[in-house]
Formats: sequence, structure tokens, C-alpha cells
Amino acid sequence: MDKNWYVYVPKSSGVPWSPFPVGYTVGQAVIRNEDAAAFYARMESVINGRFLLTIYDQGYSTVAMPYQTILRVAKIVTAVCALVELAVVILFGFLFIYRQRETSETMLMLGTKKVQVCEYFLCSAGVISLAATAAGSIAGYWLHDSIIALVVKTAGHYQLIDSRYSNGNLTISRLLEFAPELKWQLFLAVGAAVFLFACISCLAFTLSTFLHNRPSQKTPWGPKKEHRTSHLRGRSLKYALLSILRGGARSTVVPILAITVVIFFGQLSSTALRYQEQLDSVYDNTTITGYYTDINGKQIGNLVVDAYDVGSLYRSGKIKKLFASISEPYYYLGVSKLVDGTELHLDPLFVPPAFGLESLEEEFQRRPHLTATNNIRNAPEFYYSNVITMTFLEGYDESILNVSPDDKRVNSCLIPTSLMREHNIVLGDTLRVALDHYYTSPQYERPVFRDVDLLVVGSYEKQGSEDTIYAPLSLLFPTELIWDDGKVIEGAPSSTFDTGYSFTPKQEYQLRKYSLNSANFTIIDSRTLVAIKDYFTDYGYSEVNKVSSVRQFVVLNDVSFNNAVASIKQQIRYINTLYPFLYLLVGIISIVVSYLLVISRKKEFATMRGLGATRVRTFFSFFWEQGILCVLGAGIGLLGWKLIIGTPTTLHLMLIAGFLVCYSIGCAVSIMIMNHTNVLTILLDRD
Amino acid sequence: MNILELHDVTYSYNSKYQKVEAIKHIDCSFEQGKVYAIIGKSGSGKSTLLSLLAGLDLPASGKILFKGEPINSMDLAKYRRECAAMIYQSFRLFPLLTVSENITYPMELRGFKGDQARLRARELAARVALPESAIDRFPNMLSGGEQQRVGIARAMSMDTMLLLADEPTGNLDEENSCNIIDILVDLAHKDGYCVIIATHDLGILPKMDVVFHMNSGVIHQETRC
Repeated sequence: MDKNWYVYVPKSSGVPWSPFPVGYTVGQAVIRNEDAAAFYARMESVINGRFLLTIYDQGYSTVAMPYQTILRVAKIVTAVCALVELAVVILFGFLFIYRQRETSETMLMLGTKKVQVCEYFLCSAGVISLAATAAGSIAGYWLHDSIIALVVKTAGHYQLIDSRYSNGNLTISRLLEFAPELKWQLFLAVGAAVFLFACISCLAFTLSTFLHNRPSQKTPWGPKKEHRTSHLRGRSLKYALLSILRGGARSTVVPILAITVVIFFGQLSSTALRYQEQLDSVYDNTTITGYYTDINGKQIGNLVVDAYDVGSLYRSGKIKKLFASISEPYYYLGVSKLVDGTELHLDPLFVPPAFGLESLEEEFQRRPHLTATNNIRNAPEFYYSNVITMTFLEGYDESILNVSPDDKRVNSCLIPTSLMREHNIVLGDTLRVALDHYYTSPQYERPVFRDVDLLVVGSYEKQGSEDTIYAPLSLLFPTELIWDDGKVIEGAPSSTFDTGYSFTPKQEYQLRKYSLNSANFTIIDSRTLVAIKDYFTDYGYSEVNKVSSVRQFVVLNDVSFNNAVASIKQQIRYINTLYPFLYLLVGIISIVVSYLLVISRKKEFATMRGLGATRVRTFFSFFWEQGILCVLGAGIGLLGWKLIIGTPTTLHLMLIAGFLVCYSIGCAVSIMIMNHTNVLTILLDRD
Repeated sequence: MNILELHDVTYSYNSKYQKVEAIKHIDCSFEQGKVYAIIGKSGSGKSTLLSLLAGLDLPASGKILFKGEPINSMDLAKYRRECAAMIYQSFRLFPLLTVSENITYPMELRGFKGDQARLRARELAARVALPESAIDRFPNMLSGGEQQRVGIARAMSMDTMLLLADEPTGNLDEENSCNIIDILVDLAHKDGYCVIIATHDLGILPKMDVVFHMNSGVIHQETRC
């Protein structure tokens, strides 16, 4: 432990963070980023419970998190854009080439070589796609700065963490510059790639026209086998059912779309729900503690904390547990009463004359302390320990430290086993210690130091160098001033301790006379973290290295919580931003698909109308069909989801309902459009 | 007795860029029990005129009277259902309905019971010489001539006295064309239908009672014996 190393490690899931904000540095190491997890695992197995391994990354991870999200979003957006681009290129080939297949067929019939046909189509399509890709590349090059600036601005919003009073401030924070430079070659390459794909698409469609090297021979579409004739009772519904049953592949399009949408929405909603559950879980399962400290955030004991400030915090209703300690140096006088009840005579500690008193006062300052606390585990000596070895006299436990001042057990104590061995003390003995207050004793008619008898009800293995004696807080502090009945209880403050409750002037005067040596607390709910920070700010509490109107420094152990919440909230925010677009996209797709499917039936529709079917009849003939297919697909998808994944969430069901509504609206509008189309023009169209 | 009368009928197609006057001030009439042919070059307005007679649209001006009643005052869907039956060059059969179902469709629109309609469909199929085996087949399993017979049977199932045939033999070979025309002529002469055929096929003209010649939306009658 004689080496000084520095450790710079980015935060990752493989590297746990220390929950402890301060401690005693016994060594530092610089390790490579990629070895951080292995290093932590190796060290964790060899260090014991009294040592903590803390990994600092100089604040880079906090800043990097939003950029990691943006990188992830960028990858998704790039993939989606690539797919859309591919679809557009294929559509371009279809519209520009395949729709002109008759031209190709005619050219071939007239003896044109296939190469020349390809040249014809590729040249014409190439000019258009070259112009389009060039324009896109130039626009992208000129606009990318603005887009990146927008991304950086968005990222800035993502890294808002309330770091007031956080133990995260005890580490170093750095700013990460994000100013990527995209070269013109990138845009040129993307443009060239799109142009190439467009040419390939056009070439593929041109080649496909060669498969029909004579004028199109259209065969009526329909089932390939005979079918029992139906009576067609049931009107439009029956027609719809027959169309569904005999539609073959056409009848599978909508159910497949609906099943895909159900799965897609299921994924989206379960992802959203999972993050929300994770967030709730973090809120529910996180206990946030805080403590009073010094200006550097290093000390948790030997402080001078105004009891009034601590009392006010407790009565603010924002904390549920308050642990405090108040210490005085003691002078061990001896055992005044043995466990068997035998009383032993002990002289008091007499106050010596002038210079002797001064020496004795100095001696007192070097003496161990009698610490009155309501929780030994939160005393400075044990604040960072997970295990405390304690032994109690029968009928006693740690709760002895919580007794009220008027309880006869207030003069109980826990002493270190080392002290017991040194003075042959056993549990049940009563020992006497002198405190640093003197008065004139009527019995001895001379000044003596005040002494106090303490029944030894427990012992502990000390973890510091000092033989600290732990006694109930009420021994040295009027706990009734803060707690209801003076009994220092755990749990939520009484209902009268809501925000706004203040001490009377007398109570305040009494409290101001006391200074606590340490105080730490647990906030009522992790959801109220911001509220308690607001309280600290309003009260004027100081942050570490940042003095405010009240020179009391508090730290909240919330860095891990903040990181976890920020990470999850970031995902939720990302979901909340991106998902609505995906929902909208699915809605648009459903409307477009319904329109295309309905409009592709216009000849059937026109025949119906030509035979005298009413608009209502034609409407429902198609609407029932599309509606049944859509509901059927959604039903199958939902059933499959329930059987394989589990019960769908409310959001999932709502999204599916939204899809059904969009699809239905698309169908209804498409049919209505078709219903208002001039039947004559459709029917006179020669196949 | 005139079943249809046209008085100063005009019709035009309006597109975004131009207006095409397809029918120009036509006055003519049609009687029951006769076969009419409307001949003319492509784009002369034959099909448009036939569609107007079928009630697929209303004329821009003028009147079409069905049994003395103007069709623009009638429910056009009802008119198509009950007054005029159309036969198309491209057959216009429902691809997912069997031959029987295609024939019964108009009857079902008019409220015929299933069994009753099916029975009648079989009769009509026999009437247009469709083989019995074709009754449960789908249109894509039939030849062009058979599909057109289904179209005629379907038109007959509507029980209207007005049959409008738009190029009924346009997609058929000579033998099938001849058979189809014979069926239509029989329907006029034996059953009292008014049959109006728009056609390019001059070979069928000898079988027609009245021939109208159309040119650029204007109609001229050639009287036949």
C-alpha cells in the first residue's frame, strides 16, 4: 500500500460503483479501460470487508451516456433510412421500368437487341437517379452541420441530472466535446451507393421484362379448383366471407400485416413497460441516505452540527430515519458495582489546582469518548462497516440506545471488548466514568468532575483505535426536543411533523445549545429526492466546497441512484420520442395498405355497381372483408402473444385498437372514394 | 313500343387538361323485340352511349327516357338492377364467385331466395348452352366464349327487357361470336328483349334489325329490313 496509482475507468455494467462517497485512501491504481472489470473482480476476491475498491472515471461516463444513446439512435435511424432508401429505389425501378414493360416488349418485337433495351432504360433512369443522388448528397453535405448541432442540443437536454448535494460531486466531472467532422467524401460515397442501387434495381426490372417477350397475355385471376356453389345468402357479409375463403394469398396479406403489427407493438409496449418497471423498481428498492459532513466532504464524525438544524430537518417530514451522535471524552474511573450487586467505592476525579486542571483538560482531549447515539451502526466508527460483532446481556439489544431520557435504562452502555479485557469488566457490571464538566461536590466540598455510572449491557469488537463507550442518545441529548416523546424511534415522524412545523422559540433556544458530532439520515422515499434537495436549498444548507447561508454541509448518497434513474429515464425519453413516430408510421402504413388493397378491387366494385348494387351494399361487401381479415389477424397475433409471451399490456391492446381503427378508417375512406368514382370509366377500361 | 328514347343527349369527359365531347346531341329511340347494332370507329362514342343507356352515368344534357320516364329522376342503382342489363367485352365476372354464384348475384340483389336463384341460374346456364359441369367452376377455369355466356346468363337473370352488349364478341373467335350473337338475337326475337349491341364486327350486321352508325359522337340510323 505504499504506491500511489490513479484509476481512470469508464462506467459500464461490468464495473460496479462504490456506494461510499468518502473514506480513507489506502492506495490508488491506474488500470486500462478494458481491464477494469477483471481488475475489480480480482481485487474484490482478495480485499476484506474493511476495504473498499472505488473506481473513478473522471466523470466521462456521465457525459458519454447521452452520446451513447444518440449513437444507438443514429444506428437505428441509419438502418431504417437504408431500408427506406432501398424500398424507394425498388419502387423507382418498378414505376420507371416495370410499368413500361410494354415498351420493352414492343422494342423486342421490333427486333431491338436486349442490350439496347437495357441501354435505353438504364440511360433514362440513370439520368434521373444521378440528378437525384447528386442533389441529395449536396444537400446532405450542406445541412449536416445544422443536423449535428440539433443532435448536440438534444443531447444536452438528456444529461440533466440534479446534482445538488450529491455525493457525485465528490468526484471530478469533465465535459466531453462532441464535434465530429464529416468529410465530403462520405456524402459522395453514400450518393454513389444509392445511385448504384438505383441502377441495379432498374436493370433487374428491365431484365424481368424480358421474361414476357410478347404482348401481355392476361389470365383471369381466381381459384384453381372447383368449389361448391354458395347460396350467397347473408348479402354483403356472405360475399365478404366467400372472398376471404377463396381469396388465397390475397386473403393472407391483411392477417400477416395485423400479426406483424401485433408483434411489433408488443415489442414496443413491453420494452416501454420494462423500462417503466425498472424505474419503479429502482424507486421502490432504493434507500437514499445522507449525512452531515465538513466543507471537504471527508468527515462524518467530530463535526459541530447545530441540533436545531437537524431537528428542523427531521420535522420537515422529508426524512424517515435520523441517526445522531454526541460525544464527550471520558475518564475511566473503575467499576462501581459488580454484576452480583456488590458496590465498590470509587473516588471522584478531583479538579486539581490551576496548572493541573489545564493539564487534565488537555489529557481529556486525548481520552476516548463516550458517544451517545441512537444507532451504533451509523456511528462514524461503523459507518462504512457491514458487519459489527456485538454481544448483549440477556434482555438487551441494540434498541437500548433508543430509550427516552426518563427511562431507567438510560444509563446503559456498550463497551469495546478491549476495554473489558483491560479492566476485567464483565457484562452486567456498572462502570463509572468522569466527563469533562466539573462542579463543587457537596460531599467532598471541593470541585470534582462530573461522573456517570453506566450499566454495561453489551460489548462490541472495536474497529477504530479508540475505546469508545456507546450510550443511549438521550443520556447526553434531550431527545424529546426532536422526537415525539423523547424516545428515539425509527420510522416515519409523527403526523404533526409535516412540512411547515416549526419549533417554539423556547425549543429552538434549547436546541441551539446543543451541537451534534454526527448526523445521518434516510429520506422518506427516493421519489422525494428533488423535494429534499429543494428543502436543503431553501434552508440554505451548504454543499461540499460550496458554502451557502447555513454553514452546515450535507451530502446525499444518490450518485448510483441518479445514474440508474438517468440511464433508465434516458431510455424512456428515447422511447417516448421515437415510439410515437413508429406508431404514426404503422398507422400510415395500415391506411396505405388498406387503400391499396381496396383500390385493387375497383373492377370488382365497378361490376357490382354496374349490376345495380347500392353504395351501401358495395361498401359493406369490401368493408366486412377487410375488417374481418384485420380483426382475425390481430386476434391470432394476440392469442399467439398470450400463449408465447404472456398477457398483453394495456398499452399493447390500445395500440392494436389504434391499428384496427386506422385500418378501418383507411378501408372506409378508400371504399367511399371508390364509391364516388365514375363507374363508367372503370367499366369501359378494356383489359 | 319504345322502351328507350333519347332526346338531345350529350356527354363529355372532363379531364384536368381537356374536355372531350363524346356524345353530341343524340336523338333516337329503341323498341322491344328488336336487335340494334351501334357501329363506328374506336372513340366514336359507342361504348359511352351504351353506358349512358345502362345508367352507369347521366348525360350532361338532354334526356333518356325509360318507358317514358326520365332515368335521371330514377334511382340509378335501382335502374341498373331492374331495368337495364349490361354485357361487357371483358365479361366483368366476379373472379371469386362460381358460375352459378355469378349468375345469381343480380337475383340475390333483388331478394331472390338462394335455392330459387340457383335453380334459375341452372336454367339460364342451359339456355346459353353452358355445360352443366361449368356451373361450379370459377371464371378463370372457363374459355372466353363460356365466360361471355355466363355474362349473358347473368344479364338475363336480371329479368330486365333491355340488354346492352358492349363488344360482346370482341374477345371471341368467329364460331363463338356467331353463337353469342345468335343467343342475343333469339332473346330479342323470341323473348321480346330490346338488345343493343355496340360492335366493330360488321359480319353480324345482317342479323341486326336496326343499325346505328356513330361518328365523333353523332349518330346516324341505317334502316334495315
